Amino acid sequence: MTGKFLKLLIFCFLIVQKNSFSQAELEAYKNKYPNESFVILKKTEKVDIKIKDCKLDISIDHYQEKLSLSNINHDISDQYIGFTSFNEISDIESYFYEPEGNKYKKTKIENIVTSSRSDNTVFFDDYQSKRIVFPNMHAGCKSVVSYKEKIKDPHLIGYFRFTNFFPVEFAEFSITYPKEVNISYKVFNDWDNIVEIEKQESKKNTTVKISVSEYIPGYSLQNDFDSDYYIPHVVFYINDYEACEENIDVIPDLEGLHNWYYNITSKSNFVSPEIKALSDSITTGTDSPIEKMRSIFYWVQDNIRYVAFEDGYGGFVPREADLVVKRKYGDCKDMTNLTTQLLKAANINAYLSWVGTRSIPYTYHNIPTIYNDNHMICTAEINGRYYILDATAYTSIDYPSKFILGKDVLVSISENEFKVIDVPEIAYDKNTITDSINLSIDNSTLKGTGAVTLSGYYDFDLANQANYSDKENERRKIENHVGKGSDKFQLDNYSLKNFKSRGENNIIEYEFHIPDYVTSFENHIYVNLNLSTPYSKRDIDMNEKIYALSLGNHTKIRVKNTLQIPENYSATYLPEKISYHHEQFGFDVKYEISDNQVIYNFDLYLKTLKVEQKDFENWNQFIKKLNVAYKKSIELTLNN
Amino acid sequence: MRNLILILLLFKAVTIFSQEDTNCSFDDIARYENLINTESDVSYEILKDERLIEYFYEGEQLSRNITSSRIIKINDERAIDIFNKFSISLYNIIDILDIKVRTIQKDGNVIELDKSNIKEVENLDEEGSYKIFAIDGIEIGSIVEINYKTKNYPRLYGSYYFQGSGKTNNVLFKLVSPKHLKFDAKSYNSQFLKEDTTIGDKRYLTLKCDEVDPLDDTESYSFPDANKVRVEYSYRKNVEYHTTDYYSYNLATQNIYSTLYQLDNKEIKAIEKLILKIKLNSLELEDKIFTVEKYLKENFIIAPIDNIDDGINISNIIKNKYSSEIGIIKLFVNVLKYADINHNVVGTCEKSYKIFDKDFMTWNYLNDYLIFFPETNKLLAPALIEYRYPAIPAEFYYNDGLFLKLVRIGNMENAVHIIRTIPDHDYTDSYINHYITANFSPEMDLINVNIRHSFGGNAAYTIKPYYAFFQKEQRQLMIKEYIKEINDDVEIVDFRVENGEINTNPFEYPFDIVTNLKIHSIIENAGNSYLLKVGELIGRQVELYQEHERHQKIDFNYPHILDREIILDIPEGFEVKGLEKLNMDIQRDKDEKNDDYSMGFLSNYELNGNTLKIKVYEYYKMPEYPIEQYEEFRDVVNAAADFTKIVLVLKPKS
Repeated sequence: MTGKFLKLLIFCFLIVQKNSFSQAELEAYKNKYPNESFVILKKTEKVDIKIKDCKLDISIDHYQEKLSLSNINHDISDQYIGFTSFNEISDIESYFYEPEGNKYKKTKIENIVTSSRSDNTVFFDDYQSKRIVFPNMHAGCKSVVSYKEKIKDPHLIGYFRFTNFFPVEFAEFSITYPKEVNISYKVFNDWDNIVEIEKQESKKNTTVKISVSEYIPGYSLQNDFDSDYYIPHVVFYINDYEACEENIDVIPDLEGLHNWYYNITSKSNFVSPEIKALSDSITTGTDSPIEKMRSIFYWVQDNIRYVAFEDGYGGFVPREADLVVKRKYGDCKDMTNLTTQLLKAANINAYLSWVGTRSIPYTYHNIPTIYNDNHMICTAEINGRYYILDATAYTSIDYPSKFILGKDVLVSISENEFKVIDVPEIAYDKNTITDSINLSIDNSTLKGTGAVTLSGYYDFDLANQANYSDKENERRKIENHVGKGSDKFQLDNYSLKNFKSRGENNIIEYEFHIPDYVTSFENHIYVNLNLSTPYSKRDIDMNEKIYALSLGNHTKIRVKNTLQIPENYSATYLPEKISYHHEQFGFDVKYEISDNQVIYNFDLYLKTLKVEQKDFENWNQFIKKLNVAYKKSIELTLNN
Repeated sequence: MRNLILILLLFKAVTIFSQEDTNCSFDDIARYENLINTESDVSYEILKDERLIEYFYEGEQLSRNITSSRIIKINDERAIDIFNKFSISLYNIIDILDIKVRTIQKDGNVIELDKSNIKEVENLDEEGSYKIFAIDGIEIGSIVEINYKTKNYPRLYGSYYFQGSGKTNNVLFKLVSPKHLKFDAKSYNSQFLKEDTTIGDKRYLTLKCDEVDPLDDTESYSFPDANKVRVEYSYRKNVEYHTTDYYSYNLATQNIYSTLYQLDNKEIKAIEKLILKIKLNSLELEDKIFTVEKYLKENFIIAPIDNIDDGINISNIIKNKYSSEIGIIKLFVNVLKYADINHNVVGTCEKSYKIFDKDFMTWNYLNDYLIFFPETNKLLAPALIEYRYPAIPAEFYYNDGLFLKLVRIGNMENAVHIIRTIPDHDYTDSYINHYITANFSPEMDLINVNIRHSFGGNAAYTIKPYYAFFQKEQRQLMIKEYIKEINDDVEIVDFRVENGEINTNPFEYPFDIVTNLKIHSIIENAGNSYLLKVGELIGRQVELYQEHERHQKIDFNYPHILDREIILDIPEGFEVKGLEKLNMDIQRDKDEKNDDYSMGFLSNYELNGNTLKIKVYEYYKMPEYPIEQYEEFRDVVNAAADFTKIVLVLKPKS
């Protein structure tokens, strides 16, 4: 145990002594944080960077003290410490403090269980956690946990969160480094200017302390966005250092990040004779670069399965393309590398590229660290246009995968050249659902025949699901997709067009009937022609603190329902036109009569991926108005 | 409950028993040519599925090896995703002796598993380690062969499922043991050909079945796990020592007794001290039970004890304030015993998992432990923090269980058992009721609704455990989400929960959500008339409208009723049309003797002046129905869904 660590422990002990009026302490915090189940009394992370044997020696001291404010905490009493092959955890010390009279009874916790966690998206990773098993933490109980962490690769540090969901009395992140080391850091989401930064310099070392006090996160648990979008936190990275008379780069800047990525991927970044032969066989019969690219991209999508292994540097380094072809599976890096090599073999400019999915708030321009990205893709360039090819997703060449829309991509052109390009959001008229149905009335049953055409992500998502289904499941999926009116919807017939083709829009032709959909009494028939009610439940709860509303993609929906008016009936009431228009979202519904038919036209658009707080009121008006439109029926009356 | 199982190693080797000569070598695929060439519409077809269990001696130690051999034909994309990853649980496994895996591609190219690609995942989700690997080269039309042999702890029982979403052929279960050790095996949900023979110094028990159809595990109201084709096996006796079956429910009773009730003096003192702390004096029986349960569940939790010494010793449990499941059960039964509260420990399993078989003893039917109180005929679930007497998870009702009764002869205490069905409460005690009053806004654009949504008895546990253990914010979100399910565009004016706390008994005080809402979508206007979708006020109902062939019997967790009352003020100046649709009477499964039905949906109305009162009553008296009664069951379920489609017309009085 180092002297510093001892001091830390003594310090904790003092805190406990000072606060040993357990009942009073509990009451005070309960008053201060009346709606919370826990308060973090103190959370610190002290990063200590040294130079040893011409290398960086990085260790972190962690400390956290938590007080329970309510009685039912059994599932959040325990503490978990995560680690991978890149860091080492040691010197775990944990204590349980239970109120006894007006004091605390202190027990050392020895029971620590190490385990891996299952993850639906990653088949194997080396992430493990140590669970420190505490007794049930009733109101007034406290836990104290401290441990040391050793960082094995200086590229892989740099993230500190003041808290997750619990309020925090005091949280401090500090980093101490010698003169020979340069670092950069950035504080995110300090909306209310609560983060304090203090810099201390001595002859040898610099210490930067970044802290918050008495902070309550206060965001709803229901947020669509990852908490990194709104909870204050710090990201930092080591630029470079001087040791043994040499200047050694870690991540000096974006260029430095690219250099590191380039170096760890260069070994598998080559075209083998086997890959050349495969590429030739896939692209045979065409000279067009676009056609070649299309064939290669679809070949990888169709023949290679996504199976992720995140094992040490295996989490960063793609496997060789030959091996991936033989295995018929790979993770995103493997599929990217294979796509890239096949394209290069076909004389198309193709590059390994990194990107963060939409769950990550950072961009390469605001901070260059490994926290920016969690995904790899291939970027191809033909005639000055960039194509973002993600073979882990099922899309055509013109569509990036949905989960990276609007992000930026680090494209590795060569050893010394890189580019950052933006992933477009893909316009609303490229993601469409167009449904056109002819309807007729048979007593209380509504009958219909029609076709729905899907484009963009609506096309890819459904085609992918259908291609993964046996006949029975396919029917269920299609039923779910075209189902409308009520749960009595019966799909009588359907046929699928273009489902195996990524370039052409999917078409579902279908026939259906909906028993008991039509209401009639005396001489009147009532039918609601809003057979589908998209977004009817998407209103934002203004009582919840929501960062922003997330939409999967821009969208355009167009529905045309044509109802044949039964013989001897006339339309005696048609609802008036209803619209709502905002630059990002809106709709129109209108009814017309022509040739003994009632024609219902519905148009809806969403031209954003994110509805921000300033637009919440407008969004809710939009949803409210939609719902008004959805509850209008037409009236048909028997002719006298 | 694995700790309860005492492994008997009293099998003295009479002669030297050799291991069966089996290995993982690949099969001759040509043998399956016919199956391979037959077109099939399932995702995958298992051409053979074989399990070989061998018990043999290594020195004086009984050992068990298990060999699993499967050949799978891949028919579609979905099958590739199912079979291109594979994991072997290391639970109960000492060592993997051999793994042989290969893919035979369409063009005949064969790719064998490179063993260096096998990874070990340590203690996955705290449930033991796994060996995992991905299988190379799988494509549509390829054949995958997966064989592996493991050395296992010599546990004396086990089971295998032989049914999945693809078709299975050539099923073979084979158990080889030294001649004097007799095992038994039984197949469930399908007929197997069974043989038990001895050849030389070995005994061979085989069960065979040529074909097993796929099982659709998405059918509603079914327990697919319990309905899957499987084989259970268990040791029975050493024929040289025992005349009757030694491995029996009697033995299980003795083992459970000694694990749970045999305490040392220190433990007894600790229990007595704890009982004083709980303060049970002068309480009535049910209050005593309740007080014990509340105290123990609030002060002791279930947590891993692998790293601590003797974590199920009572003194240690009391010190640590947590233990394993078995430790907590032990704490419960001893508090009850030393507080003189008459009780039976019940060993059983969830009926959605397996139907307890009183004629075939295996520890697999003794997975879970409950406590039964003979004086009240009710139960308590000691290991489940979210349940309170007299509620237990509904998955246990109607399954049989091993009930242990303590008996005392002089100073000697022991346990005897009976096997009986775990009793449910009366079907009317479990209910989901709605009491609704509604009136129209003056503008006729919405209705103001007050709903009391009442969850009684077993039904309360579909929502209450989450509510009780959530923090304030989560609670609000959860209830709001629940209310929003009622209709498309409800506007919540206010809401509250009554009797939501975990210690409230929902058989006496139902979990109630009381809310005031504004609902727009229930009224539609069409010209000068209004359409009132009155049926939607009871919320969305499960429906079985889609026609499809039923494969499994109908199972649900507990019989129950749904009672609803809607009181609606009709605005002045309007008359209501279409009321006759509100009269519904769909009752099925008639018992001619009593002129009584076992399930039904009834609704009717009264109109007094401007007040429309609708009563809806739905009931299911039985926990299960045979497949032949599916259409009757469907009639009743769909009647409720039909009710939600009822639309009334409000027309201005002329």
